[in-house]
Amino acid sequence: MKAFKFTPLHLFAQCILVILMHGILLQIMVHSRIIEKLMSLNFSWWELLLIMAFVIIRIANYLMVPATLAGLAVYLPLRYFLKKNSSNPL
Amino acid sequence: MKYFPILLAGVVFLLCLCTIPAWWCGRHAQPWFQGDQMIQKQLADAIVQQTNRELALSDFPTGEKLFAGEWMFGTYMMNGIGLCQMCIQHPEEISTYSPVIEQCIRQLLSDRVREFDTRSWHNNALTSLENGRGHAAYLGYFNVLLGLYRQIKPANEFSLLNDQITAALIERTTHSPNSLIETYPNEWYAVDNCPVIASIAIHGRVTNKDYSALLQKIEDNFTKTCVDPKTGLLIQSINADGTERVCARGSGSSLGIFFLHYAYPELGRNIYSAIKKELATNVIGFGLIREYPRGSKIRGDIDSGPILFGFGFSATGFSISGARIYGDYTLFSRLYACAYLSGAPINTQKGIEFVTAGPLGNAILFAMLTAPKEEKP
Repeated sequence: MKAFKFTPLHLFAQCILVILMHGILLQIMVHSRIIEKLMSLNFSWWELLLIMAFVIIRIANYLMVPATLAGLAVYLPLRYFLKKNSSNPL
Repeated sequence: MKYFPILLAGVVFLLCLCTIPAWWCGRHAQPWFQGDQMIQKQLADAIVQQTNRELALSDFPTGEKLFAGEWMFGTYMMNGIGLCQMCIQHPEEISTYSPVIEQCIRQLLSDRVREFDTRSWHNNALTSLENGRGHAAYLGYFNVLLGLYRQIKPANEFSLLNDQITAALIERTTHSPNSLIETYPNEWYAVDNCPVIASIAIHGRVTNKDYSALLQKIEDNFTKTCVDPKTGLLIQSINADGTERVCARGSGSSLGIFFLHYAYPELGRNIYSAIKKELATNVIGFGLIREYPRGSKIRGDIDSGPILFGFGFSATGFSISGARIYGDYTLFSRLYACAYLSGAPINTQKGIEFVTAGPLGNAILFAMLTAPKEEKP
């Protein structure tokens, strides 16, 4: 069995997943009133869990995704360029 | 050389993390700060929809009837105040929004919205204006709205009520042992007395009455009793003898200056500076306000909302007004970016709506984002 190797492509896929999950959770927030319960400190454990998931995904969506994509945009061409140059020194 | 791409990507990641999110989330801060009519109208339209749909206690699942009542009252009050502030800045909108403001006032006069106050006091705030006591929360906040509405529409059907409430508040403040009016029986909150004072000042302005001596006397007592000498923040709650009951905190101080600047711009500025010094923090371009000064380990309550790593949701939201009033664009844009990130605003058919804020949060954000800039002498 081949060992799983985490590649930049997986990172890119994760970013897409976060964007999609953010959209889904945002719709849940729009159509539910869970957040009002949070503001009044009156909520059950599963509502807290859902809100925590939304908070984490929203932070990831706005903070991590743009920075990761920018990092990948630098890393991938640079790695390609370096590989190309090392395999063909001339 | 092998690790060079990873290192460079890491540097780019960090650089982008510290710049892009805050810039993106705060990209509408400038038009809000400048009082752009179009952006204000987008949120105002959602506020109008919210006012037209009659709110009920079930819209505020706080778990307690008193708090649900307070929140319903707060929603109509902030909706009305926000719309008045917008009309003052853009007088051409008066004809559009004055019917909605009147609707807010009528809702605030209704028994169902006043019930939280009536139940706590076992009497009616409006029928006991003469010879009554207390009702700071209901009468103070409501009277600010009446005063601001009078500013945009001097001859309106609520002017007489504005006169009567102002007279009652002056009477109660003058005869109070600690210069404050009770919110509920034997409960004195500094923050709830800020709108009381503001409404007297606004009444003086719109009716050309000179309350300067009275306001000066109240200011002396208020500063002595309600401003924490150590931090400069507003003490949350006071005992009958004027001593501190609940310590100074961010949510009370930041909401306090939203009202206090109408009467005491200098005192408001001092409290705003104290908030910046004691409570404000910048995390990768996002502005956050602590509920309690650094080192304190007190937990949150219904007034503070949730507290995350010491930062209060209410304190952060309310502080937007202080930054706008005192022309502090740096903190304003950081706080707005934070409100954007946590409030999740979306464009709907109704206009802009902060999804996670709920009716009260939308009303508060609208009022804070349209707070009037300090008038330069």
